[in-house]
Amino acid sequence: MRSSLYKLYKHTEQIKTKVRGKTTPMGRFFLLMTFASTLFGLNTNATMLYQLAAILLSFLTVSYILSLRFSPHISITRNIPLSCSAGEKLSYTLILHNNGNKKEKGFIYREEEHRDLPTVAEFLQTPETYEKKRNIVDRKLKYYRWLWLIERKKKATLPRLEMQTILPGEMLEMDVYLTAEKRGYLHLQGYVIERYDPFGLFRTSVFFRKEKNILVLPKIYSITDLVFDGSRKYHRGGISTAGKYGDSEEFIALREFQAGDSIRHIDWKATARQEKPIIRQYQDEFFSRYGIILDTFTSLSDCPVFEEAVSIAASIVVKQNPGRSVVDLLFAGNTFVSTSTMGKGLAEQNHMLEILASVRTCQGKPFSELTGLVKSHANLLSGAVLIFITLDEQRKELLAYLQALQIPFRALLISSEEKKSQATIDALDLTSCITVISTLRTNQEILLP
Amino acid sequence: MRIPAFFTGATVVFWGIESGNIIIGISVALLLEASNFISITWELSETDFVRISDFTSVIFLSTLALILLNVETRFFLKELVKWSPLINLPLILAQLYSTNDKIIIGTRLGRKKKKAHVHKPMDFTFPYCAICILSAAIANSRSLLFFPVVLLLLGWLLLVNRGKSFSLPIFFLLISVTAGLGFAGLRGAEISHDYLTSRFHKFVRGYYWEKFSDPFATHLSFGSLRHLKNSSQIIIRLTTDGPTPILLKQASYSTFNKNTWHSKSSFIYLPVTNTGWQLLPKPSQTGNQATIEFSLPKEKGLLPFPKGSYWVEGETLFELGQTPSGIIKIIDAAFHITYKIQFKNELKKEDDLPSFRNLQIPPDEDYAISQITEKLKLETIPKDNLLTTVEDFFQKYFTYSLHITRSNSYPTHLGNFLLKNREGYCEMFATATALILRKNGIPTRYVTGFLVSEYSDFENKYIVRQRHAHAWVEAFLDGSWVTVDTTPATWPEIEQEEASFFEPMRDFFSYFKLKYDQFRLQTEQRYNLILSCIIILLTAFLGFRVYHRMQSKNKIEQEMRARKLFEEIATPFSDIENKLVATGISRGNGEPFMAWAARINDLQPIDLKDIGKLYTLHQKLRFDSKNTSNAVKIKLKAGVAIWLQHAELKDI
Repeated sequence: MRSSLYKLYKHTEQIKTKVRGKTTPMGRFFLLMTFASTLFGLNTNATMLYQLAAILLSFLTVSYILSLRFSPHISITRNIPLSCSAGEKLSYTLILHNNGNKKEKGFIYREEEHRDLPTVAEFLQTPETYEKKRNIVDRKLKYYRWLWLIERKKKATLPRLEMQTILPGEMLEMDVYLTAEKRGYLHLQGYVIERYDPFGLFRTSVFFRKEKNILVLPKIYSITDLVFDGSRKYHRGGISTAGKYGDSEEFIALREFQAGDSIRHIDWKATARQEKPIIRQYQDEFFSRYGIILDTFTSLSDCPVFEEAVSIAASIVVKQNPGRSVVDLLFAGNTFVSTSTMGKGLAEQNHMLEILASVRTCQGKPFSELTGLVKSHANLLSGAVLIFITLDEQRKELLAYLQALQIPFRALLISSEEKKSQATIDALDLTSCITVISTLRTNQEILLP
Repeated sequence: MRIPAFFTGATVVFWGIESGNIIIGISVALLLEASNFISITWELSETDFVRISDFTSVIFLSTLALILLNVETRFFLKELVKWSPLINLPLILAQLYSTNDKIIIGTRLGRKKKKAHVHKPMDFTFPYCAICILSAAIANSRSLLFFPVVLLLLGWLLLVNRGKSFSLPIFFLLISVTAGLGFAGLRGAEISHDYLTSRFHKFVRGYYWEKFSDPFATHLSFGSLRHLKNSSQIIIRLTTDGPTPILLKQASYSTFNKNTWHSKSSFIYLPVTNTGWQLLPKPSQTGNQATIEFSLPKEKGLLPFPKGSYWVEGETLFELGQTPSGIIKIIDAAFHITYKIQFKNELKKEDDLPSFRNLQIPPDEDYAISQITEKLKLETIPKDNLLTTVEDFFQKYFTYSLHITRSNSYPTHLGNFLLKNREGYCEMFATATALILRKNGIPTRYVTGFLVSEYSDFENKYIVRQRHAHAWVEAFLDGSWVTVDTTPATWPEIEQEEASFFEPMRDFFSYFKLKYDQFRLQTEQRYNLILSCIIILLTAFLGFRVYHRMQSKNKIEQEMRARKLFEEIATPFSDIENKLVATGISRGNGEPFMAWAARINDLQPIDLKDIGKLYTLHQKLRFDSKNTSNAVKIKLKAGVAIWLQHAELKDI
């Protein structure tokens, strides 16, 4: 029954997409009116709906016939940037060239993205937010869930606008905008040039496959500075990986050469003055190294709370000064657990944002995988930010472990139900070390504890 | 989708013309299009839109109720669509006269009143125009202008929404092609419809004719009453001043052929005598009187009456006719009739005599009748005992049933009933009895009517439902027609057992429908006015609530504005202020008066304490002038005068 519903909705959606691709809103209204007037106008003596139906049908027929053939003589070059931020408008330019020998006008340009429909598993397992409040029929039929999933699958608001009139051989520049709604890669399959028929009821379109990928970085929120109690205490690191930037060790003093010292460190001027080998004594650089531990463990493939958690992680990353400290991102994927490091020349901030743009939820793995990763990494960390999307005994255990090692940490619990989460925190007796961040308040400045 | 200017108004006017409401159409169009010229717009919130939606729903439901009460059910949808431009008027007005370009349709009606259920905002202009055009078409004016005007309107709409890749001449050329195609299409539809209708009529003429063209039941097919057995609808209500008649006769038939009873009697127009109709000569002793209420949707039909009825009168009966056999035809009456009928069971119509038809037996039924006659040896039984024998035969060997499931072994229904199944319903019993008696030389006729058996405690009346429709036989014995009912007497109970669970509920509503029908009849045409007034009052009340809410919001805003305005008060304190200004020490921007005065006082003593007291009085006068007494004003004036004198002396 459920999969039948899925099939029904899927086929309906495919038909809807086809009809929308072929008709204009006016055309769809004409189709609807034609259907109604034909249905109720069968008795030609009772009403005059049949006359209306005859006119509407004639308009639709003429319109449809004229929409059958279309070959635009326009070539388009798109200058699309490689990345953008979710929720922000991305502007780019099109260069239009009329290759034909006649004036082209009234064409519509639109981008086409790769569009996924919800899968059966998603349809069956992802309940709509507040679905419990719907009536029993809606809950059983799950149509609103389907619509909600479709809406959630929408990755971007793509440009669709009327092109300027182009004379034969003319080349024009046009600015277009798109707004990516979701982080990750936005796959633009190509662009479409459309033309409306003379009555504006049907549209004919030609698709040009020109694939482009845009990396959509997570949303960045306004967030307060992250200050740890132990941040002034520098931790020994041994940052040999910074070799490409030269020696990063810090000079302390001169001393006499001892066997085994590196000849490279001999200070020749001092040796000449002292007439005995003097070497430069260096101290390894000490620096702070924070871990951002992102909780990816949820049964849902598309979880709004998780999205907020990623955005908050990205906001913390952006707020860090890469020259001052090293930031490790620790998270688990479906097939791996990962550590990524940035700062002090190790990697660019953008690299970590790219990772955050692509991070997905981890389903079917226990949270202990992440705990293991944190434990193996703990001796390097001078502080940690834990971003949880749920709270249980395993997460509590991780917090206890960090407390035992006296690693200062900030634990955030991202939640759409603030009161309920607060109650869970109280129940687990974690009130003093976890802060709830409501997904409803991310438009305000997020105050880190 | 763009709607051209004045398009909405044009569609409304078009609807007005087509539906015969020109003045309403023009008024509504002016109201809608005035929004283009009037700068007044309301700022409506989501709650306001929900209220307007609910208000529209109330109008819709009221209209629905009015239509259901006043128009035949089969026309209700048509009538509803016809008036939909007016029903939806509040929605379009809300859009045109609000600052929003879209409306929010939602409702606060229902169980969870606190939280409104709302849909996405939508532009209602185009749906409204579509409603107007559809309603105009539904009105069915048969005007020749309909086609060109619709073409013009749609062409106008498409002109502003056309594909810009094509030139205007091409557009107009295509419009003319479309017009030709459309005209051909509509003619094709008309011809096809006529053809299909004639074919359909030929195919089902018998059924169609009987169902819709024969209110007086000049013939009755076998099984017609069986269809009524499923309905528990109350059609007759009866009260009497004496014994209640058990059977109400409605029609009688003499000839039976091919499973159908036929009546050839012609009706004679009955003249009115003293506000009533004399059906039989008045008896020497007055009989009983029954008051019957009878639903008559077609406003014509056959009048149910007890045996021996001699006088009938009723305000809702207009014209009657009668056959020689006494059947009364209602030529003209109201849709619900109430009549008083006087009857005396023994009375008979002198010219109501049997004919050869009352002895005819169709040849194809003779085999069954003959077998029964032979089996019961009826030929040997004297005529006086014949009735009893036949009645006993049916009572002993036959059962009443509406569900005959056995196979047919004989060529006719009657044959199967008599010789094989031995179960059936009243039509079968009556037909069989009539033919058996005829076979034995007794003239009979088949009579249909109703059984009066159910008493309603709720209405305090006898009620007759459709399933109480009954058939029996009248046999001509000893110079008069005698009622012979061989159907087992348990049949009303058997049918009662099969009655719907919801029957009492239906009866309850039926009672209110009756009262409403009576109210309509009593008040003649005024009921429309009264109901319209009620609906207008209700809708006006709701409209007032919406308006009042908006007004109260405006009022609060105005009050808030009013509070910020202060009356200019002539205060003597301004002299002190002028004097201080004259010192040359200017007051800083936003500097409190007393701080300024204190600054001056530091440089040049100015009796700051006195100024402080006077300033307090001045403030009192300034902010609470209404409650400040004259004494305070005088005190302030005097104080200022004294201070000024001091200032003169000190040469400030």
